[in-house]
Amino acid sequence: MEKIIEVKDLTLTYENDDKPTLNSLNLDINRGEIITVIGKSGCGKSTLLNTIAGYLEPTSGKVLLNGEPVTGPNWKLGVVFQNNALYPWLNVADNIGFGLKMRHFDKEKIDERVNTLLDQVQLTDKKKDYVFSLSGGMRQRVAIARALANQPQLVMFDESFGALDEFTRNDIHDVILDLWKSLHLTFFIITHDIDEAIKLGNRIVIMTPDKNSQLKIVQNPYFNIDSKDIDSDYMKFKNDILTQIV
Amino acid sequence: MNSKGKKNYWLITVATWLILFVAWQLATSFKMVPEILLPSPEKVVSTFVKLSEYGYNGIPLWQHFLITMARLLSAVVLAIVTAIPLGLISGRIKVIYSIFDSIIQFIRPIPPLAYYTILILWVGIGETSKVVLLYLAAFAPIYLACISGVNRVKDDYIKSAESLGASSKQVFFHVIFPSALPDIFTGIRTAVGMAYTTVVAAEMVAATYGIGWMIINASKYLKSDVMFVGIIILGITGVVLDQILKFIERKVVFWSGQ
Repeated sequence: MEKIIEVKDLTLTYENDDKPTLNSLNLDINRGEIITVIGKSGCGKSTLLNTIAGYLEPTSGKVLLNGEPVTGPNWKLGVVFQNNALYPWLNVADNIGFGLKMRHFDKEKIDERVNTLLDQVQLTDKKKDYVFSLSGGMRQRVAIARALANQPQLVMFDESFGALDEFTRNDIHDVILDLWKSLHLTFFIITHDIDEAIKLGNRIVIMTPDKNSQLKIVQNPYFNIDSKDIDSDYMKFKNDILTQIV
Repeated sequence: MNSKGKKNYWLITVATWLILFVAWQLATSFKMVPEILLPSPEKVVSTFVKLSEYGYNGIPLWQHFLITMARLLSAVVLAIVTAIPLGLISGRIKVIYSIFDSIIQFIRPIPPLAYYTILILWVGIGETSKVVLLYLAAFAPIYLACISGVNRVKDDYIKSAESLGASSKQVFFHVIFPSALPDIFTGIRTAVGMAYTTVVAAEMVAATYGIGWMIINASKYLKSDVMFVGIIILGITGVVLDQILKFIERKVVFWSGQ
C-alpha cells in the first residue's frame, strides 16, 4: 500500500515539560484509508495531529509526507477543527474557496470546484449565506468542503464532531463516508468517542497512557457498521479498546 | 428583548429629554435663574438664527463649525492610516511592539493639553499644532485596539489559513486584519471621542475661530446664549458622529457579535 504519511520515532516534549507528550511514535498512513485515533483527554491526540499537520516541530524524529519531511503547515495536509474555524466575514462559497484563492487559482476554477463541493456536502442553497447564520452541522460541512477544496493528500479532523448533537453527528459521519467513497480520500480522525472511532476507522489507533508503548493499532472489523448489526462481539471489541485507553 | 420592550426604552429616552426641556423652559419663564447664567430656549434659538445669518465675530457660523470638523477629521484620518498598520504590526511582531509600545503607553495617559504649549513652540500656533495635538490624542486608542484585536485572533483561524496554503502576508491581510476589525472600530470610536474633546479644548487655548473658540470668546463677554448655541452644536455633532461611526461599523463588521 502506498504510504502518504510516515511518522518515524516521533518525540515531542513541550517547553517546561519534563516528560514527552509523544514518545518515539511510529505510524504509517496509507492512501485511501481512514484512521481514527482514540484516547483519553490529554493523552496527546491533538499534539500528534498538530505535529503531522506541521504546526508543531518534533523534538526528535520526523514526519514524512510522500517521503519528504513536513516542515510546516501545508495545503496538502487539510485540517478540520472542532470549532470549524470558518471566517465569519466570508460567505459559505468564499470560505470554501479561500485556499484556492490564496493559491492564486483563477476565479472560474474556484467557482467550479466550490460548486461541486457545495453539491457534495448538500449546501448549494446556502452558497451566499454567511457562516454565522448556519447550524453547527452545516458549519462543519462547510469546514469539510473548505479542507477538501485544495484536494489535499490527507484530511485531518481534530475532534471535529465533538460539539455536535448525536443526530447531526450521524449525518456528518454519513457525509464523511460518502466523500471518502466517492473521492477516494484519506482521512485521519481524532475523536474521544469510541463508537465514532469504530464506525469511521478502517484502522483504529489507540493512544494509551503507557509512554513506552503509546500507540496500539488495530484493524477494525466493524468499520461503517450499522447500529442494527451491533452484537456482543462488537461490545467485546469496544471493551477491549476501552481497557487499553484507561 | 422584544420590539415592544425596545419601543418603551426609546420612549423613556424621549421623555427624559422632554422633561429636561420643560424644566429649562420653566426655569427661565419664571426667572428662577438669571438669564445671564441660563438663557431661555427661545433666546438660544433666536441667537442660533442670528449667528447663522450674520456669523460670530465676522466669521459665518458654518465656517466655525467646518474648521472644527476639519481639524478633527484630518487628525483622525491621519491617526487611522498610521495607527492601524503600526498597531497590527506591533501586535504580530514583538520587536516592533517593544520599540513603540512603551512610548505610546507613556504618552497615552498625559492629557493632551499638557503638551499643547510645547507643540505650539515646536510647530507654531497655526493649524499644524492643533492637528498634531488631536492626532496624538487619537493615535493611542486606535493603536492599542489594533494590538488587542491581533492578540484576540483565534489561533485556529491562523492555523486554518496556513493549512489552506496562505503565506504569512496573506494570513496578515486575509485573516488577521478582518479578524481584528471589530476591535479597530471600537478604537476608532474611542479615538474620535478623545479627539473631539481635545479639539474644543485646543480651540479654547489657542485659536481665532472654531466652535470651541466661539464658546470661550463668548464667555469673556458673558454671552451665555452664544455659549449655549456652541455647546448644543457640539453635543449634537458628537452624537451624530458616533451614530455615523456605529452605522459604518454595522455595515463593515456585520459579523461582530454573531
